[in-house]
Amino acid sequence: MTKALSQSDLVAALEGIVGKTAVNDSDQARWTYALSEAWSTVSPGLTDGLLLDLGPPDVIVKPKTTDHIVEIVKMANKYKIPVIPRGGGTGNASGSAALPSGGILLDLLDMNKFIRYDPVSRACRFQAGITWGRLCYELKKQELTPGFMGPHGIYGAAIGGGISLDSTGIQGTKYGQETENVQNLQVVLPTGDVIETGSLANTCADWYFRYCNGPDLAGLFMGACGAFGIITEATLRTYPLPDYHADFLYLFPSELDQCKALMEMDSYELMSDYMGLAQGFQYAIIENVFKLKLGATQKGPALIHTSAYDEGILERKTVMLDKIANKYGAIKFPGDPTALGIGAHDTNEMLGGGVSKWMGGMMHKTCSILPLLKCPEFNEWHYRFFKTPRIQELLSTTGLGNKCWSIQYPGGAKHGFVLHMSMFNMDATTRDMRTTAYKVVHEILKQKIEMGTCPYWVGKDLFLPHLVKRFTPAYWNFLQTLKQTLDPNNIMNPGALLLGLGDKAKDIISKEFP
Amino acid sequence: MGIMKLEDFRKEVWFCGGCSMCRETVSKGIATKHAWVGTCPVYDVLRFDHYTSRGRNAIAKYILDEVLEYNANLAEDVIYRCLGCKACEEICTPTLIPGLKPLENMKIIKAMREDCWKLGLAPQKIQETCAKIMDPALNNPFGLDKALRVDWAEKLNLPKEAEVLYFAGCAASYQNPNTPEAVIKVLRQAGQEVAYLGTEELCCGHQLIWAGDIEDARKNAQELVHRIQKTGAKQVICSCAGCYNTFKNDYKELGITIPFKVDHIAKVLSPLLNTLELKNKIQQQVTYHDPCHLGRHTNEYKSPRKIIEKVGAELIEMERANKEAWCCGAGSGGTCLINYPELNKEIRTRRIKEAQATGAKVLVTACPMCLKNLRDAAQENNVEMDFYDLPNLVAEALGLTSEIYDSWKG
Repeated sequence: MTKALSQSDLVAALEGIVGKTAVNDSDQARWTYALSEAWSTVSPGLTDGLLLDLGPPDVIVKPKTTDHIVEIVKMANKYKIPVIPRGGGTGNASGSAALPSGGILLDLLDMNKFIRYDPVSRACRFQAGITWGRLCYELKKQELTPGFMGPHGIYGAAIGGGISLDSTGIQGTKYGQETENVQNLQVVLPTGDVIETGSLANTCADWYFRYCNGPDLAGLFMGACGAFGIITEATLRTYPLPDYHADFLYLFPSELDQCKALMEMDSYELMSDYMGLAQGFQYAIIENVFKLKLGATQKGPALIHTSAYDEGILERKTVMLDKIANKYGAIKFPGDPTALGIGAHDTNEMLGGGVSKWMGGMMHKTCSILPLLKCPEFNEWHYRFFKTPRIQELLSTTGLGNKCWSIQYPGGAKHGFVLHMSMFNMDATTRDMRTTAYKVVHEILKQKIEMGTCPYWVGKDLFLPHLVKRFTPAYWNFLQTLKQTLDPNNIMNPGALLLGLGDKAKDIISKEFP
Repeated sequence: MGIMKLEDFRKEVWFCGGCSMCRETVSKGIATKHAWVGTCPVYDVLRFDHYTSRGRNAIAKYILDEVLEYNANLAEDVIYRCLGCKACEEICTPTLIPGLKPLENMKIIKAMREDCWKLGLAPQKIQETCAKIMDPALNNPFGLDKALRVDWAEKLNLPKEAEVLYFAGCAASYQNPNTPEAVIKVLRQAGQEVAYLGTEELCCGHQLIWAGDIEDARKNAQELVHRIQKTGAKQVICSCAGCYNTFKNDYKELGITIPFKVDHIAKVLSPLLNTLELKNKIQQQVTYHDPCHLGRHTNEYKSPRKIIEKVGAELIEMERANKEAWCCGAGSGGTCLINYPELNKEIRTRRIKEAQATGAKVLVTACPMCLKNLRDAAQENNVEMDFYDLPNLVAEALGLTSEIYDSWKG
């Protein structure tokens, strides 16, 4: 990678495209943008021994239009400067941190226009940097919802970022993953050309449909972390807002019973969200609530949110949920569990900074998609892993504490697959502790990959080395060929998916990391 | 000894989940306990992540790990730019768990400012303001003659000693003198005589604390508390939200115990109004701007609204009110007003337009700093509204007349 532009010329050129106030290359800006979600030990400059030598970009730019991005990408191609797209910056695999070659970070949050709602296809069009909060706000004016309501960061997270990372999150149980609701994408290709996918590929079409006009090209860019192009506009399905909601908390005899019950409830489409809690700290809290209230000693709590368009339907759903829960030997918590601050719907974000503070240490998580019935097996491994003398010793020397726990969480995925989170809390205050914890995390991720888990966010670290090592050569070659074909100058977010790294990727794949 | 060192928040900054709610949340009535439209006013204008709490927490991590170091550019660009409006703490995700406190963003920024102050990195204008406060011949952030502070009280014959003391503060004394006049006249109408320090009154030190000049802030606070103590006052009433928060919360952080009760005039007037005859009911639509230091910092939302209701006005709330209220842009200690006038202009313009959108022709607030800032915004934007500090609205409703201005609007 060579740069023919000096830093000052680069800044001046970018200012010429987007204006002076939309460009920033101060140290404080660059380092702030090197970090994304703060829950990860993948903290460039703050953790040693990262998979890739990640750091700050050269400059941050806030484009407002697709044309701005086209111009930036064309200039980047000319001078072979990496371009790193970023949405809300709440992903946790450092997809928007820069390699040592630096680059232009595009903060897309000013591409936040709600473009229109189309009543025919019942879908809405917007710029990709719009946040979930703003989209929900705009749709609510028309009594609509996008269904799936955002990943970690919820109302502050950007939709384009979620699409680029195959996000899972709130209400995915009912409506499916974010990407399942995508109808069309507008993408700026690495060459600077702009394409529309699905129905909009036909310039005469003004409605939104995905699977038509040839191959499903939207899928090529979803989950690709910007490696193949920059998503600039998107269309999502919408749904009428349900008026009736209810939350329940059940305690099952075992985690397996809990998972079987959740699976059955899911298959009858009774839930909007759920959170099946497994072994760990929070589990004990819920268990104690039941013990105090009901004298119950069972294990395997599950929080369930359901919604309906009609009160009678909500009542019937409640009856069916109770029936299935009873079948698997559950006890129901009397009353509204959201009063305990543990709802599975609005309070999704309790799993964020809240839990870190609650537990007294930064929470490191390993979210990925697992078959629901496989969760108890992994949870058991996870719990045993943390009890081994070696890990205990590491824990005691790094102050990680014995706070590991797991959740089979609202699905981002349906039909028996869940977003599975195993977590542990750690004292992240020193570089040594973070570096040790980073290695422990990689041991967990390797185990998860070997159990066949599917990481949805791939970014530039965490699951990536373990996953790519287990790709078939043909699959890996195909990905690389795609990258080389679409992005011959290797400017689009190099390092994402380990693409564009040349021999460095071979080294990583040939040995287990770290 | 300072408030707390950045080092003391090492764990706290790593609790930050980076969820981005402190940056820009739009969640009005969607599916959440909160009802925000926007969070950080500075981000709302400047649009880069390092101006948010989440960004500053990232910078704090880098400073603590010596990847970044304090310098004049960082201080000017980020550390002193925060308004201290506390909106980021109100929305911070730990608050979703009952009993859990938000990340202590305000204390973290104060700790960073103290570091900068000690290193001589505070912006020049802010240093000059602090010097004016500590100048015994001035004792106010405006650098105005000390004698002018007491002009408003000249014809009121206020005692030097009483059980209750009124603390007028710099902003009202110099910039909106009919507020202290209204306070005295309204309290007298209710039969309450209050003492006043006169030229002995010092700045509360609000600006010093938010500038990071903690040593001077402590010295100033100790002297002020000593002077109040000498009057024998058991209660101090403030009409400035900033002074009130300084006495109530900041002095504790400085390790200073105050041997008297402190109240904001809104809390005092609300019950008093039940006993007073309204000669001139305010039969108009009124909107109310929550000052950050009376609202989010000291949790007083009800009293001002009750007063507005009691004087007969119809309250039309702005889209963002109560805990979600948008800052006027002056910033804690007026740091934004002093050092970032263009940013302040942008933020206050957004707020005054929000007030205008209510359709109300009267704006009421409970802080002289907010009052002046929003009045200036109205002039800049040709927004025709009348502006009242809360005591002035009450004075008008009671039919009292001002000796200083033609009307209580000032």
